[in-house]
Amino acid sequence: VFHIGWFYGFQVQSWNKTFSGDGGTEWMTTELFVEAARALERAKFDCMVMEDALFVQDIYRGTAEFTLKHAFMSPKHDPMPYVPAMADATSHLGFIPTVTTSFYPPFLAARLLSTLDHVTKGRIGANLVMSHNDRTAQNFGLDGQVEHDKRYAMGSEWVELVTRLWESWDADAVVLDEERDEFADFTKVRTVDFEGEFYRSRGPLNTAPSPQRRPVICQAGGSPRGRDFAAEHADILLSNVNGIDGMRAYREDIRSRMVKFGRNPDDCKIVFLVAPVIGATEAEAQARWQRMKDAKDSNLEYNLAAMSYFSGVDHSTIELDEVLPALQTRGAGSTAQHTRDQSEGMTLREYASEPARSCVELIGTPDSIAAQMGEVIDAVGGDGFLLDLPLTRRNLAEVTEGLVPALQRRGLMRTEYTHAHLRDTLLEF
Amino acid sequence: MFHLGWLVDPTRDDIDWAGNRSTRGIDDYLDLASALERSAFDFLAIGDGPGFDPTALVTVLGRHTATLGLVPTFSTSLWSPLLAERMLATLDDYAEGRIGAHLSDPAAQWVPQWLRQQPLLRHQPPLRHQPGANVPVICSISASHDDLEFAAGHADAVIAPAQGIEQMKALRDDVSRRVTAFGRKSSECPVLFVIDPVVAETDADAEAEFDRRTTGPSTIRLVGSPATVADRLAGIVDAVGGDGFVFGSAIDRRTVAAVTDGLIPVLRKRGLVRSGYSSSSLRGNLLEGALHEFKG
Repeated sequence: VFHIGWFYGFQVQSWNKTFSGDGGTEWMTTELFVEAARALERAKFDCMVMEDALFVQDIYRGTAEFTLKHAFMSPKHDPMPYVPAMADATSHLGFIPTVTTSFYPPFLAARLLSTLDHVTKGRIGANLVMSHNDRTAQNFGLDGQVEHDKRYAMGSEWVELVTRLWESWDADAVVLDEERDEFADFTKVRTVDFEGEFYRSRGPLNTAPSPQRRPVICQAGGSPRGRDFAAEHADILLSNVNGIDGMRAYREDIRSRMVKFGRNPDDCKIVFLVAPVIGATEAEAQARWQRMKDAKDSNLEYNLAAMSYFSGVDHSTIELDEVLPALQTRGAGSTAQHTRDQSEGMTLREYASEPARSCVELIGTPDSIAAQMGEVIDAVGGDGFLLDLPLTRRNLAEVTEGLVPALQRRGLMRTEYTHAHLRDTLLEF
Repeated sequence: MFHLGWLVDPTRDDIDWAGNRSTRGIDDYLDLASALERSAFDFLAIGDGPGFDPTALVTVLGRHTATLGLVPTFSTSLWSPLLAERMLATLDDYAEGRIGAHLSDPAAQWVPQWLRQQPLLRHQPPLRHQPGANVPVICSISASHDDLEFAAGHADAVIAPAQGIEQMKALRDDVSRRVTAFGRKSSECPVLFVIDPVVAETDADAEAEFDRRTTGPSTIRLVGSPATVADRLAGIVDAVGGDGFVFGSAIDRRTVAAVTDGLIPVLRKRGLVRSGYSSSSLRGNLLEGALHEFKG
């Protein structure tokens, strides 16, 4: 049995395709996402992981033209206000919105996540990112972003402080003693008096201790420093590392780092990003995949923009018909590394004309994809997948009516929830 | 502009696109109703069957939707006129004018009797919402003389089988002649044809899906991408003079999404279906934008 979640951001999911519906505007309100949450809960998913960013990309060709013309990662809404609407419509699905440690003050983040843990009745997590580009930093008043390893050093201290704030109330501090007219026991609430290298906070937090007390921590560290951060703090780790060997190596590395930090390696679930191409028949799935591959021109432009987005280097200025150069990037370093690994020997044009890549290609009928997913997890060792597909009703139906029943028949996915809180759901197996 | 409805047969045992047995739980109906309301359908009609009473479902659907018409089926062999009348008045009160009565065997004996009682009941002490008992009657008809005569006299809309263009046109004209003979305008009784299209991303995918279907076509063949099927529907309405269509399709979410997030947006872009409701009552929506008056 493996874990499964859905990965998306609060942006346009699909807007001018055959089955987009009202996708150009529908993402701006909650209905579609509430429907999706109910569908994923019906399918017994672990969670939704909600990607986020805080800038309008204008690296590619030096303008925001591609970004805005194609609704590429912009406009994008704050995930937090969507969460309570989805939580109200569900009772077991977990919600993991992205939080940037670089720009969320620790006290505000601790308070927001504690509140959301109450509102979701113990089903909140936070996907911690350090933000990876100068534009975000500039939106927050800096000239440019802080250097990579320092971002992680700050992130570690941030987690330490946020954790201290969550622990500033004992779990039993709210006593609700009607006879003695005592709501909370003040001796069980303490200041934290945190004095770090980057952050200071007095405390205590002013929320009541939440159902999970410590919300689930999600992360996506790929660099050595990022991996250490994940190994030290994360309950769930998402990865876009390519190929079975890379996935297995990544998982083994994280698990050994966890041991180094004194943690049980089974306490962090590593889930791999995949974008299955599902058809009612093998032929239909292959035809769909072929159509994706045939869209070379739009693939090329999309991938060049995406590579610019992640690396901070304008890929419109790189020679298309030469082998991909190694890039010096101050951005998402491990994402740029994946790109180099995957493209070995290919020209930039060849590489970028293909559909966007995920960890492994999954193409076929629901049953054949279920079988492939089982084989991948057997080979990698664990722990599950994050589906990286646009949230359209068509995609939701193909996954929840097709792929999920096939996985459940093979005993690869749960058929019932057994726990109320997200961390317990993640630790169920 | 043409009208759209969906008629669910709760006894139908569908195997869905992935080979699984389709479910008919309350969540499935709630999601279907939301999807149809989002697409500004006139109504969702729900059949009855052994062990299934659609009126119970309609109370829940009424709270879940705001403008979609809700049309439970009344079987004349099960309902007495008085009980049917009382149930319809109650449902329509709570759903604030969005209830219709679907009669699957309209020529049966008791229906005219029930309809004759309506003017009396209409003057009973009012429930919270008026007109209460005076709900639209939607009849599923065959081409039989009795069905046609009954519908012409009493129905606010008819649901008819879609066969060839010629038969559809003949039926449409027949209904219009009979309706006007009763002193009504033909636009007061729109004729909606039942369809079960196969809509897929490409024409080739749709053809392949059509070939995989286990049941043969019970209705006119509509197979293709959303654009292809939209062309066909527009052509049928032009040629037949019909007033719209009722989907008799399976209600698995992939099929529903192909219609509401694929086909309907194309129809809407071409101005063939409404983009939002102009009336909050089922009767108001059924009377909206009648295509033409019969001049025969």
